[in-house]
Amino acid sequence: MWRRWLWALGFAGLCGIAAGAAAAADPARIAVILTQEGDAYQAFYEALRDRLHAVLGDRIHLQRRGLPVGELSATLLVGAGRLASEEILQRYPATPTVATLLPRRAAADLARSGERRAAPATALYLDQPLDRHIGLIRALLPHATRVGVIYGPTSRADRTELAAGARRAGLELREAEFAAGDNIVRVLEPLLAKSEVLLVLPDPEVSSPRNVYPLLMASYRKGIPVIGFSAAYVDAGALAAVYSSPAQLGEQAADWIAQLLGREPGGWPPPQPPRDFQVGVNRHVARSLGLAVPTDAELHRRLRAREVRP
Amino acid sequence: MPRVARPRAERPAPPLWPPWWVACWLWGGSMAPGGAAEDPFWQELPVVLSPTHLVQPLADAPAAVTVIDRDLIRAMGAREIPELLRRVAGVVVGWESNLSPVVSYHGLNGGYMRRMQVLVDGRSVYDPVFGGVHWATLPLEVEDIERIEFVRGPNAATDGANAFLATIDITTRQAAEDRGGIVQARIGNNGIRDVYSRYGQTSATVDYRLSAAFREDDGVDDRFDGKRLRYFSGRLDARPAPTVQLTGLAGYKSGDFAYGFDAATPLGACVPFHNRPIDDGYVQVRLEHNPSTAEQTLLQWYYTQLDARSAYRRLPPCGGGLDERSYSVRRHEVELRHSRAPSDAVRLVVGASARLDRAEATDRVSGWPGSPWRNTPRNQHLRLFGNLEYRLTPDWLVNIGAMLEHHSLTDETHGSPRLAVNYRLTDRQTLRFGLSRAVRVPAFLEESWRNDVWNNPGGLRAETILTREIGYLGSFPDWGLTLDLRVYQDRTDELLNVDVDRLPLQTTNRGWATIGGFEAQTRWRLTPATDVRFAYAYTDIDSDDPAGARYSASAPRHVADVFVTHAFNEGLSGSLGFNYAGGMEWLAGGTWVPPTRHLDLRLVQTLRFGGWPGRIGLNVDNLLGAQRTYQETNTLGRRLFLTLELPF
Repeated sequence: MWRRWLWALGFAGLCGIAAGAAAAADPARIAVILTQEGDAYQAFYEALRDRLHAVLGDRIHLQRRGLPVGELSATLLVGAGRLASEEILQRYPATPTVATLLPRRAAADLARSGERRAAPATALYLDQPLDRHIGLIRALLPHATRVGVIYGPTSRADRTELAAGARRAGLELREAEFAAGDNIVRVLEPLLAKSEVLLVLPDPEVSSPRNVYPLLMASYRKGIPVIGFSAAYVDAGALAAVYSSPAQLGEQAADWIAQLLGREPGGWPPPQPPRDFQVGVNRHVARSLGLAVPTDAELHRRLRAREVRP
Repeated sequence: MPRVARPRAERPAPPLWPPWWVACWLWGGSMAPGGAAEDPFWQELPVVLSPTHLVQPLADAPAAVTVIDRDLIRAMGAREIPELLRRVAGVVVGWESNLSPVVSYHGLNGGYMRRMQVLVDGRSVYDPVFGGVHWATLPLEVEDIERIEFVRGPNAATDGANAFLATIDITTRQAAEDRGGIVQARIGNNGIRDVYSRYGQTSATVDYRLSAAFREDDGVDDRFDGKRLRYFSGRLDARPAPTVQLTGLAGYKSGDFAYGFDAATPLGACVPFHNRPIDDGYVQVRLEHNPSTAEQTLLQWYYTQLDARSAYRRLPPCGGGLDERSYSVRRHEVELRHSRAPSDAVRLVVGASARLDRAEATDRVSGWPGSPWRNTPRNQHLRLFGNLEYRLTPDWLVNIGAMLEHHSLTDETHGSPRLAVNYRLTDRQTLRFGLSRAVRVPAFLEESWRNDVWNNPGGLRAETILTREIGYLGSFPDWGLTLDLRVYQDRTDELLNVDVDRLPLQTTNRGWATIGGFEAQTRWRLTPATDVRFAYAYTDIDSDDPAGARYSASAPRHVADVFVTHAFNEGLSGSLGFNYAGGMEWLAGGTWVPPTRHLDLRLVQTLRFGGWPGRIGLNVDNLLGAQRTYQETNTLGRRLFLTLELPF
């Protein structure tokens, strides 16, 4: 704990030098706009706030807003969620903005539209790197090679990247297409017959509230483990998922903001994926499927090791 | 057309009256808005796999279990549920008539298999009047079944009385698993004409399914044995909250069964051709609270009702009078059960239930003194049970369970404990040592029935069984092989027995049988396209064979079953089933039946009608020719039928 604080202090010191005397004299005014009040947004905000204060101390002035935004004057805006991010990007084109807690597609769209803005903008999105899901499958089911995946209107764009990642990991994809209005039961049946594990990507159509139940049930009945993308999936009956908690995302956003504050407008990086993550495994489902699964910590370690490898 | 901006009324929201709210909730699920795009990430999900669905791995189970899953059921393409059970090691299926198929395991039975409990979605379908199960009118069709677990051995610690030699646990499909519709039509020889249809729809919080069927065939060969069935069932699964599931089930099957014998024979004079209508139905409501996939509180109530009638005029050689027999059974049961896993090493289920069985029967035999007879027995059945699974070390697992129950019919209280110790030899091999006790309580007929044939004064005791077993489970993924081996000894005592040579018939507790044997249930995935299942049972019964019950001959010495499925290509697949059962004697009405050899073949081709996948299947049953069943005079000939299935 102490070590973490020392690091944070050291980091704060460095940032202080980088940010220069101006920042110290005039606290940066950061406004965080939440799309809605909810556990996830609240946890995100609290982690962001605590980390920012730890890193930058009283050299920042933080305020928190909901939607609609209203009048604001800030050095930097943080949008939490897609709706909040869209609104501030539109309304405050002259204020540097970091969009967070939004899907990767939305982040990419915003970043594109942001190119014409006067002030820089970037995003921290929710989707885990596709390779992380693949790493989880590898770590959980070392003998499985055939990975079923259903592409919906949103996740279809991930196809090439996922296929490349799967190939690198020695996995074969078994793919199915899903359009709005399709019958998930009928799409799943042939797919499950040729898959050893099913990867569910964050697609609002495929993973709609109406589809989750038949999806998890049908897969379990066939003895096919499901890899989800949220803690809720694991609780509902997926075998496992890799995801970032709102707090992890809040901390990452804070660290990033601390770096961005001193940057030239031209030097802002493109949208980023989550840095920290957790692995959740439903041990009861694993047992019922007859799978011996390493501990969460061990899985996390293997995924980390996989990512730092050159 | 002028466009008028609609004024925004600043009205307070209307109060949310419950009926309106409920209606919206039921309706709204299917059309809920997508919400924010990041929703999938934070979306709250229902607990889909609750302890109701999560199956205990076979390696941890306290008993030997044969699973017949959906894939196997589909591969067989069978019309009748008993036929699905031939794949279980040691099972013999007999057809007394179209009305009374019998599923026998370890013998000791005639036309009623009284020593086997059968559950459908946790609802007991065991008939308290005669004992056994009315498979022919069970309000269930093969197509609605998701899974059958056949517990080989006593399971009274979990399922209570009559889970004596075996328990069959049938699970139907969740409504969410059948989105959309399907129509199935079947035609074949022996008068086979079937239609089945199903439609299901799902939303975020409510799913439903409706099934209906009409089936008919001519039954056992050379016999007046036709049947006509009408079936309807419905299911509603609602999830008012992520941790709450409410399930409503209802089903009804009504059947007309041709029964009776040729008027020229002595039997035919007393039981001439007539129709036997039977109506069988149920309603079930289940409320589950599932805080997680490992914890559940379940409250369920169900009601079942069966009405059977027969009326015919005897012919002059047999008195010429009018016989009318009818009986009806009503069952209510309420059950409360809690299961949880307080740690990775411990799993616990405790529960209690109260069941009331009532029957009303009238026998009217003209010309007989004492007619009509009315029997109105009832049994109040209270149960308390608990099962604990405890993993002592990674290699040692103990299952301890017990059932305590009281039956008002006999005013007896029974305790049925079970102890099983599973030892993991390697990651994929397990040894199981089991000790299990169970009881079989008398059926109403045995305890207190009085009519022209029966005079049962009561005072019977429950039959008892003590089973010792050693099981082995092995899984060899490199070879695609799974093995389930079991040696056992069943010691039964106080067997309820009828001396059929003395009229009126009377049931008494006399006789014992010790059944010893070996069972093997294997599956071998030869290639990704070929699957071979093999089941074998060696059964040896030692008994004092009291008058009228040659128990020692009531099960075949050898029963073997091979079932091969093969996918020829994407569209064409086939299966081949061969079942051999050695000679055996069906007791109480049946006869000695020489060895039978059933060879069944099935081919299925998937079709495409404008993008809609359909299936067409051809079944040829008893390819080797007619086989005897249940009694010398009953034969099952070659059956050939074509099944067409189209989704909509």
